[in-house]
Amino acid sequence: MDPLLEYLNALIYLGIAALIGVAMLLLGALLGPKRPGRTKLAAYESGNEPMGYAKRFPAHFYAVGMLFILFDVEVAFLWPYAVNAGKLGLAGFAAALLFTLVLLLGLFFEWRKGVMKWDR
Amino acid sequence: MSVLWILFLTGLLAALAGLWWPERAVRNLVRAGLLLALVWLPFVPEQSGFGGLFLMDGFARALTLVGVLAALLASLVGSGYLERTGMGAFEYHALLAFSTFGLAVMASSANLVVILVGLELLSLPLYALAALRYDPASEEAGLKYFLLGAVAAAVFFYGLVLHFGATGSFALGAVGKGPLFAVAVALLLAGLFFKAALTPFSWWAPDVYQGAPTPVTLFMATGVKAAAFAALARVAVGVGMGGIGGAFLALAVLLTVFFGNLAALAQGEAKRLLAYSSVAHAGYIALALFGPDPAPAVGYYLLAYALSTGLAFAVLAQVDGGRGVPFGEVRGLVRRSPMLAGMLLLALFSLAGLPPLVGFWGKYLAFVQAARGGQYGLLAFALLTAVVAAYYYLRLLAQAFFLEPEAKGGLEVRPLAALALGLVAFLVVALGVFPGAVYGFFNVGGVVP
Repeated sequence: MDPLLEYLNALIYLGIAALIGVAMLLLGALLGPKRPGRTKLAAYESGNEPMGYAKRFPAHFYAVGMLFILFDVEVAFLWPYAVNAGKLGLAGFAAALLFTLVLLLGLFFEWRKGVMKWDR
Repeated sequence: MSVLWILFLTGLLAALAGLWWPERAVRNLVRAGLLLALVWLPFVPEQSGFGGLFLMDGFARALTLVGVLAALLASLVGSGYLERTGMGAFEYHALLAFSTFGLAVMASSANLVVILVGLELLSLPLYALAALRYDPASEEAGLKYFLLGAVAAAVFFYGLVLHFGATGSFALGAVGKGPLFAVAVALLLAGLFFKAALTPFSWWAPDVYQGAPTPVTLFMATGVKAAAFAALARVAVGVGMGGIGGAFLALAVLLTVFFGNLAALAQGEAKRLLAYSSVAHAGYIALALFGPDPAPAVGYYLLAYALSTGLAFAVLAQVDGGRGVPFGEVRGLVRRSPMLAGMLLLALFSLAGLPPLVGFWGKYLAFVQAARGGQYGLLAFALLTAVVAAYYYLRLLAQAFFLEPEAKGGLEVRPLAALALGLVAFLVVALGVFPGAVYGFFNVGGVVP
């Protein structure tokens, strides 16, 4: 006898058990009387009725997170320049300066917009 | 190069100026910058730079023109809507300029890495723009667009990496073979199908188009599509339409024209209807890619489509009070504003492809390319679905012309918006009667060096 077949009994048992469970739930849902009421449909015990409009995205943390990413990535771009700074000469320096300047303007924009203010 | 500088500095100056100047000054600055780019574009010489990373060829010039035109229209017709819905923020115009800059970068390169950078530069401001009208529908649009856009960019990036693995180059036109290259092609196309809203990857389009502020939807449907097809045409021609790329594209076109047109039939909201229509039109544009000379057809179709859809959305932006445009809002438009109703008529007839309007020539050129490429089965199917499309355009028009209005009173259209609407409507007719007037500008050579 195949050693795997020994478990066939258990498998059949599992199948029957699952069938009975599903059948009971299904029959209950199909045949059971339903008389919903205001109280019955209300949130149970500890749940509260939701009120108002949920602001799901607290933008503040994200803004600071993005600032971090911005300057983190800037460093990643400046590394290759720093390694080759000698070879790239004045043109390379100008390009890197321009790049940093644009990012600085971005920081300035964020600052003026009040991203650094924690207590808002 | 100079156009990129103009667009970039426009965005940067607008963002900084907005900190001190009133919104009115910023929007005039952005409009002036976009207008300068538009006027300057035809005079830009064909050139390439940075070792081939930057490529300003005729195709790039044509599609950048379409994109800048779309941005200018979105800026001009948008401010009335923005103030009506209480979000008269200068960021709208600044983000629009930045997005247009990304569009120009994406259109003017035949290098996969630069295309990806352009794609991100185009998309990031758009995510913010989609969520600009701070309410649940708009937030949903922004988040949905962002998440799916991020997935699409990741798919494109994966394709890019495999393309490098298979050919040893990021430049399009590099020859590769074998299963690795096939997977790379499939992934690259899938990433761009998302941006161009071709069907297996277009599920986001109706929700985002409906939820986003109407002027933003205008730009998404016109400018973003131009950029997506600029990249798609280069990638499709670059990897070759012979193998898996052609089969994949054919399947996408088949599904797109079928699903887009059929789903549009069931819509009761004008923006959603036009979203499905824009999905269907993406299928027609993609048909041109099968031809031996796709560049003029793709460019001219995108111009025709941008003018027509742009006009339709511009009209809806005047009607929309911030809660979308269900059919009830369009009802009886002809009584409230005959001018707007007439423009909607022109736009929708042009989209349906009726002969004296510009949309006809776009369809004609695209279908001729498909026929010359030997895709007769696909072409016949697309023609059939184009007939179906006429039905839902007419359904929307019937609402505007033959029913009594629900809302009372006329509609106020600002002078500049009216001027922009009039110019676009004029172009829709004039380029339909004299299609040769600008065809030379779009009749450019290959798309991959």
